[in-house]
Amino acid sequence: MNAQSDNGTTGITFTVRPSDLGAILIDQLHLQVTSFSPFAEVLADYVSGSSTMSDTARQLAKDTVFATVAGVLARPDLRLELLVGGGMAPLGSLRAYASKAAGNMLVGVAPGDGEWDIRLFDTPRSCADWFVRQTGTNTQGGEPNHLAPPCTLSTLVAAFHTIDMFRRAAYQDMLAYKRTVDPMITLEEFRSSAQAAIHSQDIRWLLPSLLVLNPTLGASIGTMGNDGLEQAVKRGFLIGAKRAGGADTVLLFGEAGTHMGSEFLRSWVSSCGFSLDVVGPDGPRTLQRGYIASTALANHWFRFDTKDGVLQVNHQPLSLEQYAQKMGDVLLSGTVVERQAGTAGAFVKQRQTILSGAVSQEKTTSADAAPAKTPKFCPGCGTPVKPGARFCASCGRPL
Amino acid sequence: MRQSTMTVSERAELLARHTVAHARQGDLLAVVDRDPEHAPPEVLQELKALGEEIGGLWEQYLAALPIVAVSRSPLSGDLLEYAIDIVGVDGLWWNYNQPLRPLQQLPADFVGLAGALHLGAPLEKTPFEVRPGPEVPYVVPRLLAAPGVCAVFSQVQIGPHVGYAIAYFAEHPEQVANRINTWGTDFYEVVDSQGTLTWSRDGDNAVLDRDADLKPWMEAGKLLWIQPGDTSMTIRSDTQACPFLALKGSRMDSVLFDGMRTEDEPDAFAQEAMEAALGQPVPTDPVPDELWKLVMPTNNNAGGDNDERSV
Repeated sequence: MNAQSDNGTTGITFTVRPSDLGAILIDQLHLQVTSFSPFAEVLADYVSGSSTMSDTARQLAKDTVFATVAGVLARPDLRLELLVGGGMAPLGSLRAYASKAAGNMLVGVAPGDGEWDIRLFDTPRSCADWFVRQTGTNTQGGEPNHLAPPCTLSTLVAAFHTIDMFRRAAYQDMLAYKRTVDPMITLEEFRSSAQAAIHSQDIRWLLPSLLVLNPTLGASIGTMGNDGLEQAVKRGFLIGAKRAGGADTVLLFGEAGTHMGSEFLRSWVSSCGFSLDVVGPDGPRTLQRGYIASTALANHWFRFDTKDGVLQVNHQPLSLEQYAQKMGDVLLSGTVVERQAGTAGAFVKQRQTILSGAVSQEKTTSADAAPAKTPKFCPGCGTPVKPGARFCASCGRPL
Repeated sequence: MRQSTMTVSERAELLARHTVAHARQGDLLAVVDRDPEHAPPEVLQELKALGEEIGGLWEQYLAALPIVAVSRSPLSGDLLEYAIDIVGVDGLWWNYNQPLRPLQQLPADFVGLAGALHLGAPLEKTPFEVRPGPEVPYVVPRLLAAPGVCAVFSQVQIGPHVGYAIAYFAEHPEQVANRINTWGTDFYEVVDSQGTLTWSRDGDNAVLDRDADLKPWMEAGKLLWIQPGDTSMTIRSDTQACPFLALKGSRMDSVLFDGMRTEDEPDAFAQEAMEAALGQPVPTDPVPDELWKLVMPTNNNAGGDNDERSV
């Protein structure tokens, strides 16, 4: 156990071992844990009184502030989940929980290797500020919005792949010790590499990072329209051209593609997917979801809305201050809806979307079988790992 | 989007009837004004009938106005659909002193709609003054300088003329206090914090508060545009393909009346005078009083004929 005060806006932090959770929450504090709780997975098989209490755990159980925090985490009715990775960052997650019963307080949870960091926030805004400092870049804003709304998922996919193709062309140039003035790709290359990128789950590239960090988007990929390339041309990401003396169409990078391609080539720091879920009278539901890609120039904010059954993307390039404001607004939007922690028992969450061909298949857990789980990935290489695996099948890292 | 429910010839007939009725109304009001106490009953009766006729024509005109997708918010993605007379500037919508416009349902992040008009031929004869802006679009720096405010340029065909809509949007429109006069008028409407529709006015020197050097605003992400003819109204931000950067035309406000175009120059004169006095370009903020004192005479008797001399 480790309790300390922060000088910042974040209040108090605790460090707790998952192996101590059963003894503290169930044996000492006698808390009931819902499937919405971050502890649900760890405590799924816990038998009351089955673990030995360490001194540090005993001390933690006596801490009144921790008892309040544990109460929120055991039966939360609001959750903001951020999957972080991509750019220069390995895959990780940050979550914040709230309970109507605990008022404005939010509790942040960052699961680590063998220890969890738990952080207390007085208000949704202070929680958002902290999250944004962890995931954003300190930019002043003022970047053109090359993907102004309304934007479809297919447009976003084409634009992201254009950015990746620009980076790829630059890397290939570097490897060959040359500088291509106007790099070009064929239509077929663009399409086939987009398919490969979608299935790769390699978060070093922007398009795969979008899908890995927003697992629920996978379901929409199979049903998205095929106007992405057309839109990418229309918005200045790509320019259609004919090769001199040839009849086939090739694609050149347009102003928007070059601008954002250079931006992400030079300074993509990290991305994160977010999902705000609340437990209402009818059970859990997702209120908002989105994706943020942070570079040295902007925090690119993408919010996903469904309008008339079609996924719409709202993109805004934000300064750090604007990013904090937006994230605060997201959290506040969850606090003003009706919430009811007790209905979380019936929670069924998508575990992981596995993409197969053009159509995705979703695998879900039943409420009785297991609590909600976040998709798991190797922290070393980002490859998805099988449930129960002890080593990553790709890089061999112990999990 | 809504098509006009009136044909061009029906509209022309309505406007002709309105012109006749309005002129007759003016004549009779002049009679009544001469001696309000003893106005002849038949004049009052005719005035009443004319009022009803004009009111009816206004209703018909408003009901027939098409609702056009003029712009789109780059913040929310919502379309700005605006009731506007696109048949010509002879419509009552364009009457500068008495614009006839319906209440509009506008996007929540809408701040204002300014415009410019590049005149084509023929120029309509109007019995009222029309001020459709300069010939080339511009931005208002003081508005764009506010955090979260951005503008979108688009093109709207107004009869034989090419109109440029300049729509402003803001993340928090309630924080944008000093807005811009609505296209073709000398005022703007705004819903205050209590939810009441009210109106206000950008100052007389509004023309000084403009910038036609658009590229830096685009590069700063503050100005976006929609390709003319793009029915999907896709917002773009790249500069190389932007047709609005290459437009040529007068930056002075056009004043149209009776088929003639003149330019509204006083503000330009004031700008030149101030720049001469200061030896540098005037700031884009509202002109402070001390600056006016530099260039304006302090003598209360100043003005009138410049050649006049007191003995």
